[in-house]
Amino acid sequence: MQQARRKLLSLLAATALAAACVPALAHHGWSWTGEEFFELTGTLTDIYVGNPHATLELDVDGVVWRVELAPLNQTLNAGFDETAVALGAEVTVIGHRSLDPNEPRMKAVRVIVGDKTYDVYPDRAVELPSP
Amino acid sequence: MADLIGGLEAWSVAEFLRRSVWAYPLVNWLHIIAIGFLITSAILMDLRILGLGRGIDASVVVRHLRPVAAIALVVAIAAGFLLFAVKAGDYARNPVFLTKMGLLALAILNAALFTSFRAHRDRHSAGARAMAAFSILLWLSVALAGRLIAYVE
Repeated sequence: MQQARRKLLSLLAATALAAACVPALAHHGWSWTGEEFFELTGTLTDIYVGNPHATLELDVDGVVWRVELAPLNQTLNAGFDETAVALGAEVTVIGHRSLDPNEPRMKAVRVIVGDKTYDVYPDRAVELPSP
Repeated sequence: MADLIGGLEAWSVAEFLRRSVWAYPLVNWLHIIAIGFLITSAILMDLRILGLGRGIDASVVVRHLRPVAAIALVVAIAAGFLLFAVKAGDYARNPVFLTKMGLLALAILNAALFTSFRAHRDRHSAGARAMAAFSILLWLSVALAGRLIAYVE
C-alpha cells in the first residue's frame, strides 16, 4: 500500500514536470501556432538560412518578432535565401502566430519581399490568395 | 571566449554543415546513435552494479561494456562538437545547453571516479551502488537536457 502510494506520487511528480515543460516546447511543428492566418510586416533585422532552422527577425514598431521558416531544404526550394532580401528591407510574412499572445513569434507559410513571393510551405500556401 | 566562438562559427566545416541539407542530418544521426550506445551500455553496467542480472559476473559486464561506452562517448562528443560549431554563439548562450554540459561533465567525472576507485570490485559496497544510481540519473538527465536544447533560446 505504502509502495503503491509512493509510486503514484512519483508518477504525479513526473506528470507535473512534463506539464511544466510544455510551454517551452513551442518550437517544432505547428502545435504551438494558432489556426488563423496571421500577417506581419516589419524591417528585417536578422536572417539565418541554415541548419537546424531557418529564421528571420523583423522589427515591428520596436518589437522584434522571430519568424520561423520551413526546414532548410524546403526554404531553399522556395527560392528563399540570404540573397533574396537585404537587412533593413521591409518584409511581409504570412503564416501562423504563437498561441501565446505575449510571444512575438510566428511560423511563416509565405514571405513577401517587394514584388517577390516565396511560399516556404507551398502545401499551406494554397489556402492563401495567389500572389 | 567570444573570439573562440566566432572562430568556430567561421570554420569551413561549420559553414558547410550550416548549409548542407544532407550532412547536418547525418551528423545529427551519428550523435543520436552514439548516445544510444553510450546510455544503454552505461545503464546496463549501472544496473548490474545495483544488483540486476546476478547470473553474469559484474567484472565481465564491465569489461565488455566499458569499451563500448568509451567509444560511443568519443563519437557522441565529436558529432556534438560539429553540431555545436554550426551555431556556437547561440548554444553558448543557451541555458539548457550549458546545463547539459554541466551534467555531462558530472556524468564523466562520476564514471572516471568509479573506474579509478575500482568500486566495481566490491559490488556490494554502498558507495558503488550510490555511484551507479547517480550515473543512471545523470545520463538520463544529460539526454533530457539535450532534447530540450532546441526548445529554448
